[in-house]
Amino acid sequence: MENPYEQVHQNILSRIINNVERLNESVVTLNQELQHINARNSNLEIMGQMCENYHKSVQFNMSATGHKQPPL
Amino acid sequence: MAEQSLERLDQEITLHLQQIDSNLSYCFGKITQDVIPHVTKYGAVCDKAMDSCNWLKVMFQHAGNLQIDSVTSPQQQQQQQQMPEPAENGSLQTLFPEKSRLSPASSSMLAPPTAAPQPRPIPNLSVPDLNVTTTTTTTTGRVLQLPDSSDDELNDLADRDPTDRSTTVHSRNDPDGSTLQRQRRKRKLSLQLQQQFGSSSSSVVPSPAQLKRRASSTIDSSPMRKDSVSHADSTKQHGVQPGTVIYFPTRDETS
Repeated sequence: MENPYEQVHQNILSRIINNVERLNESVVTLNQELQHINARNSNLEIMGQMCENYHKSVQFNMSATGHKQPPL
Repeated sequence: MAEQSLERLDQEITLHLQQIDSNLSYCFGKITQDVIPHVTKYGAVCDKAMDSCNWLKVMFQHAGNLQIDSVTSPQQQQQQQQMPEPAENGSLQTLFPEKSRLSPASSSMLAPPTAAPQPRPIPNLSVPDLNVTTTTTTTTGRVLQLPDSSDDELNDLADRDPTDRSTTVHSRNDPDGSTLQRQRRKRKLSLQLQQQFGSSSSSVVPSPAQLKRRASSTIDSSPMRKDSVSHADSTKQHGVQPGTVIYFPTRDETS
């Protein structure tokens, strides 16, 4: 005896497979975008680190040489 | 009785499958329509910010006689993401991690992530399969073409001579590789001519790609696109050893 639900299940499963494929592709696209953005932002992060380190070294040198002025 | 329960089970299975299907399609629509455009917009904003801050990078570069190479390919960027953790822990930070600079290991990173695709014979619908979002194979085992790997390939092609580019282009067209060998032989011959007479017809003239790359190497360059010659030139010019690590005190040591 043939199960009448089998065809329905197969149809839904194939649709699910298609959906998963499309979802996977879109997620891959999203990952690429995010990787690109991360690569860009790492540059900015290094810039910020450099500015911060510059500030700290300036503070250290000013206080070491005694030229540090209180904030206006 | 048994038939009734069987039919009920079938109906429940159908219902659950439909729910799964609708949820997946909802996820797809959400990602494609809502998430990706905003992420793209955010990327454009980040690009703008990076371009606005580029003068700062140039200033630091010239101030420190250094080459800052932080815009890398996604493969190297993954590597770079692991770097800040140890750097933040120590009191002394290295601003220029070794891995982001030009290294011989960077050439091995050029291999696209689809180098060893494992074909999945059966589309597996289990939940862990959905979590593997970074995989490049679809559920049918089809290999997705990532544009960044092909970008790297194109950049590699641009790094070479025009003759060499034509070599690879030809070698793609004919699979037997006879023209590849011929071009390689011709290239070797021109190289010998160059070594013998100090000049050759084609191989001495730098390709426009190289010229362009050298001109822009200090502004926005990734370490992969920089060959060892330009890097050696820059270090020789500035007198900084390639493995130089600059330490900045991050702690106010007077207190």
